[in-house]
Amino acid sequence: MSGQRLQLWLLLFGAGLAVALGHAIPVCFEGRLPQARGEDVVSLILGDARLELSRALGEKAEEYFHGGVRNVNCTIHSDAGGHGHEEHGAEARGEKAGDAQDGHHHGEEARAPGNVPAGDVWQWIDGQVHVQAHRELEGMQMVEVLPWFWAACRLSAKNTQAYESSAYVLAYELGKPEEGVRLLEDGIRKDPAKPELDFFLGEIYFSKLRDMRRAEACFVSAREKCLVVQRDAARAEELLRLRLRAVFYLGYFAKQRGDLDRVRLYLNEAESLAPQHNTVRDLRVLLENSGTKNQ
Amino acid sequence: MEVVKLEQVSKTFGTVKAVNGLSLTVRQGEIFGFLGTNGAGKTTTIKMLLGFFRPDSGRVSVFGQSPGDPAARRAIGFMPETAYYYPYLNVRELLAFYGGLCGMAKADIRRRSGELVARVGLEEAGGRLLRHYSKGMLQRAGIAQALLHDPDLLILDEPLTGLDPLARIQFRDLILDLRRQGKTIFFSSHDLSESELICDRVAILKQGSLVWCGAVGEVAGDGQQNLERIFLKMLGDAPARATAGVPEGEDRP
Amino acid sequence: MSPRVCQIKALARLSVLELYRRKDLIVVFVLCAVILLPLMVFTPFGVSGASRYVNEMALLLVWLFSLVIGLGVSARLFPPEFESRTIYPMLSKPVARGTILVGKYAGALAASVSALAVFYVAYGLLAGVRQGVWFPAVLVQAFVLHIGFLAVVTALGLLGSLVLTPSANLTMMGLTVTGMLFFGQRLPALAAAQAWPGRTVLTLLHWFGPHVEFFDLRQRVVHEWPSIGWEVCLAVLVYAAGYAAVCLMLAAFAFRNKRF
Repeated sequence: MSGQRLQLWLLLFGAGLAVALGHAIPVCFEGRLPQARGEDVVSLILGDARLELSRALGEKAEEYFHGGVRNVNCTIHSDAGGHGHEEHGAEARGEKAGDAQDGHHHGEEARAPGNVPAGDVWQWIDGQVHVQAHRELEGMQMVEVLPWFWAACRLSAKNTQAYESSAYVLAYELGKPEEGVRLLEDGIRKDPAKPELDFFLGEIYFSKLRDMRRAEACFVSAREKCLVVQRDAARAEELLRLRLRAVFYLGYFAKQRGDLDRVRLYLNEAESLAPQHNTVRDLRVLLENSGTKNQ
Repeated sequence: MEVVKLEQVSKTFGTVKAVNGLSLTVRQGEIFGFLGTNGAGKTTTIKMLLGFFRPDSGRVSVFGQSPGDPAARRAIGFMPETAYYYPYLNVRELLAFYGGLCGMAKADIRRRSGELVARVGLEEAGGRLLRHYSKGMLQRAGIAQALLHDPDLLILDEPLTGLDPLARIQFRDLILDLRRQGKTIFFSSHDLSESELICDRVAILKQGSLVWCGAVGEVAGDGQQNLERIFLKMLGDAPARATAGVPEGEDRP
Repeated sequence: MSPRVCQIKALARLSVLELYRRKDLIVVFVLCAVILLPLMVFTPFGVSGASRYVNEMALLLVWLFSLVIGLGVSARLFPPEFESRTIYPMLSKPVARGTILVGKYAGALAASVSALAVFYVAYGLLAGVRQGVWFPAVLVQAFVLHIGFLAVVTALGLLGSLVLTPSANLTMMGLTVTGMLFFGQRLPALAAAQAWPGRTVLTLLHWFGPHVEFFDLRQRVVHEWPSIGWEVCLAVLVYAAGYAAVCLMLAAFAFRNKRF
């Protein structure tokens, strides 16, 4: 056998041996190999960089949302976060849904290229070659952002925004709320401490699947988790807002059942947290519309 | 006619004087041997003959022109000492490449390639890539590319390196045949016996300076001397220990 | 055909033959297929229909490999000739050094562009089959500008091959090109935020560095934006030609003074 052919066979043999060992060792030594608790190989290798990479992939998805343009002020996430509450707050106040504030900024469809200093021909060329305006994906086009969000979610379960935005796209844009539910449940399983995913799951059950029982359970869970993590000073304001939104939904469900005492309890809770917040106004409206004033 | 003329040519690299006041001429139709030990300045002289760089002083002319002019190199064929060529070409493609550089027509390249590949004994290996060639085969490819455009002056740097005895005989016949055609051959070599056999005149270089130049016939005519003795005498080296004790003028037993 | 053109053709043919006979391209194509095929059948969250990410990955691979091939071919133009002494029989022929330089450059560019054409045809066919749009104008424009990119990269690689070792050449030119692709647009903003001497350095880089980001139309191709005006395209190609010419002039100066 010539030297080259022998080398090729040896290479194939070595590759086959590596694959075989890769399969056999975990099976043979099951339970006896050292394990890093709750972590996988990617996390061991990347460590804290995992979350940053995941965020970078999320930004890539945002870039896709804006037609390949970066650093635009509005995001899918801002829309996802504000969507449900604004709509149902409007419903609670007797306004039409759709009058609610839209998270997107459609005002800047075509922005003129940024100021180019006189005489800088390179910047002029760059402005002509690279897109300066932005446009947004709509409806079924939103499927284009999914691969990046998928990668962001797989890379780090701590990237809450990626989970929320993915679930928003699946449930609200692509008409696949079940997939959104599955994703959020997976995120909750991997990072149970975060209340955001419970809240968003509740919104999908409420607005898309019309499963009020499960929706209420999610909002209860979100509210309880907010209580647990409220000591995190960096996220205090964010958690406060989330809790108030959950409280509103719970008040809404209570009102649907006719449990006005419960509604009052939630109103008192909202008032004690932030008396000027919309939630307080909306809960009062709920009570007023039921014909009972808050005393 | 003087084909090659060097007049008081000197070249220094840093502190090393590679060529020092070299003057010689090569006449048309002769086989001129350029001899010397390693580092004597042979290759530097050849590079100046080919116009790779200019001398620091003196004048170099080939066919009356400066070798730096591409037109002057039209009549020169050069075979380098180290026979490395493009590993991903075969010998015909190599000759086609050099033929293109010489401005030859495609038909001429094809005809000459065929003749030369047969002449140097590479017909059977003509389709193989040069990276699969032995050293001797590469040397033959080198001879072929030097002869491709039918030059009037051949400059060969150590042409016998890597050739087996049969190939050496064939090479000798080739050189003598070229001389019969009126070509001028200028070659450097370490092989004194071969040089003595085929050269008309030889020059011996030592540390960049010409120490001897003359007709081989003059050397051979003197029964007391051969080229090897002249060479050793000019370079100032005593006879080797193996010949110690042998009186001068007598051959070794 | 004039003798000089024959000489340039002979020199160019050498580079093209070497690229295809080294079989590096086959490895590159196989690698691209291995990376892209799984992406084409992948369905994130069980939802099919996403295609832009495949297009982006495909174009990223095209750019990456074209850079590798362009730099790899041009960085190998002269060092092997000097190391193996094949420069001597070449220079002994009746060919001017300038012609050798132009011929080598033409060969490296032809080799790189031929590989690039295969990439773009494959991309166009892939996109056509998946999305039903066959070779839109923006893709043709992207290919034309990509040739301009290779013209600049090859000239830089050739200049580097005369003044640097091959590994230093590949590293420096690779970093320069990649850096300009990522940060070239932001150099004025970065310069404005710096104090002297950083500001001066960045400003000089902005004016004299190779703005290879001008040739990058991936954003428009992937996100289905319309093509740029052909006058802008022409301006960019004139820039490429000018920059390559300057590099070649510097290379000619270096080659003339090269001792080997």
